[in-house]
Amino acid sequence: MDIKTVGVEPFRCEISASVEQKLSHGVYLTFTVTNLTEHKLQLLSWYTPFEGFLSDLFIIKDHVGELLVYNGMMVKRSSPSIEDYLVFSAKDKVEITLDLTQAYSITPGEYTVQLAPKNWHYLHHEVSLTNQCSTNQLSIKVSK
Amino acid sequence: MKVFLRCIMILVTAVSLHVSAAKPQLDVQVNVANMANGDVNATLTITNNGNGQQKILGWYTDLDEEHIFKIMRDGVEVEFFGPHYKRHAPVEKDFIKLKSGESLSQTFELTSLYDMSEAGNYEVAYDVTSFHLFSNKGQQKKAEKLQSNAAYIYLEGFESKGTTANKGKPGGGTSSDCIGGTCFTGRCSAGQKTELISALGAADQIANSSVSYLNAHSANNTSSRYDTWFGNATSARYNTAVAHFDAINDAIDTKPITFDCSCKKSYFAYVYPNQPYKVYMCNAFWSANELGTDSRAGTIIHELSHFNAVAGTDDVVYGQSGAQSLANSDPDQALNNADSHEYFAENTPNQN
Repeated sequence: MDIKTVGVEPFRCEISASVEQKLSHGVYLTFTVTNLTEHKLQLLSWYTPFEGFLSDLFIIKDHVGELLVYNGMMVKRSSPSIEDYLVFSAKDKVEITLDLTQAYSITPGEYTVQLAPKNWHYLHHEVSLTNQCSTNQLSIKVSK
Repeated sequence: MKVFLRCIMILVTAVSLHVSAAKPQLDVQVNVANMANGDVNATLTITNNGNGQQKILGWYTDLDEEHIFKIMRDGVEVEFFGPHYKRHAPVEKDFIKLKSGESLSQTFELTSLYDMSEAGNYEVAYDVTSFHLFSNKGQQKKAEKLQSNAAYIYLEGFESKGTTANKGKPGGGTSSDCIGGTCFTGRCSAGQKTELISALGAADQIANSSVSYLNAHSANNTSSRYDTWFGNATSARYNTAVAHFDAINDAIDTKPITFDCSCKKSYFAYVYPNQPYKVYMCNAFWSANELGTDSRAGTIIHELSHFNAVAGTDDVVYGQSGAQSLANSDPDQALNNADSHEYFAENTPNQN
């Protein structure tokens, strides 16, 4: 059965964070992916928050709309192996929390955050498919 | 008086020799070979010639663990850039057991760990001293030693092109060495340096060909090569492609590129986009071809395109089929995708 016949996107992606955060504690954001289908899906973790900062994951803008520079690494890989895929059972939900200060020079102030647009690769019955997962935009107020 | 003193000294020497001789009957042989790519390989063979089982502390059999070779160039000891570990007292499992007649043999690359950059006659010998070389039972009264024959090799050395600065420092943490404006960190071996210089030359060649293509075409006169990797051209998009490849080409021709060889992961390579122009090479890079799809030259184009000071690209999708669909579905993102730049430059299979 073709997954597209479900009529909805296979995954829902969301980000959530406390609106007010202290820089000294780190600035945390939780990323959640839900399998909306009734099938087992395997999502390639590359270039997603599930592998941590191995690519520029987020679009973070300060109060004047200036984009924050990504300080982390960008990694070119060869072909994925099965361990690079995350298994989602039907209707499964997986989340991960990341500290944004590990990869972006955040100072006290107000920011908007969203997931950088990437094409995601996933497997359904061994068939490789791609999908764009876009998220909501968040506002975070960071104090000292 | 003088004669008397001398006698005592000889006596002492003889006694200590006798004590060492009673110790383990391990025979150590070292052979060195100069590889075609400039690497120097040393093969260490330790054989138990005694009647019973013999133990040796494992980390003294491994150049990645200890400074086990003494290397002299024209009689002067050369610098060692390998690690110096602070260790716990050895326990039983740290020892390797050799049965009577059994031997262990391993080959190590030397130029990444010793300063062998200058021309000269090199003498390589296994030479270790430790209080726990053969046993962990109690503190030994004196250090135990194990040495080999010396193996000799003449090396041509490698000269910096045009400059004599920063000669040979193959390893150490922050130190680096440079050949003709390209620098190396993270213990690149002589062979790796040769391969990186060659790959950079190949990257220059495909960057030049990309710039020529873009100069010879325009937004309303693209061909299949552009369309495949960057999709529908508007003049704004085409100008972005021109600016990106001019910047990549300029980085290769004029910027101080540093290659680091310390990564042992399965990746091709990685960079920190805000730290130009340092590129970390990993395992997949070393097994790639110099030219063609996902080649060494293409990987260098990919990585340089990531630097904010060059083209500031991201990894939007990976692989050729992903990049082709992106060109169709989102040409703006294709111009933001490092692999799209790599595949355009590699142009494999060839398109006009």
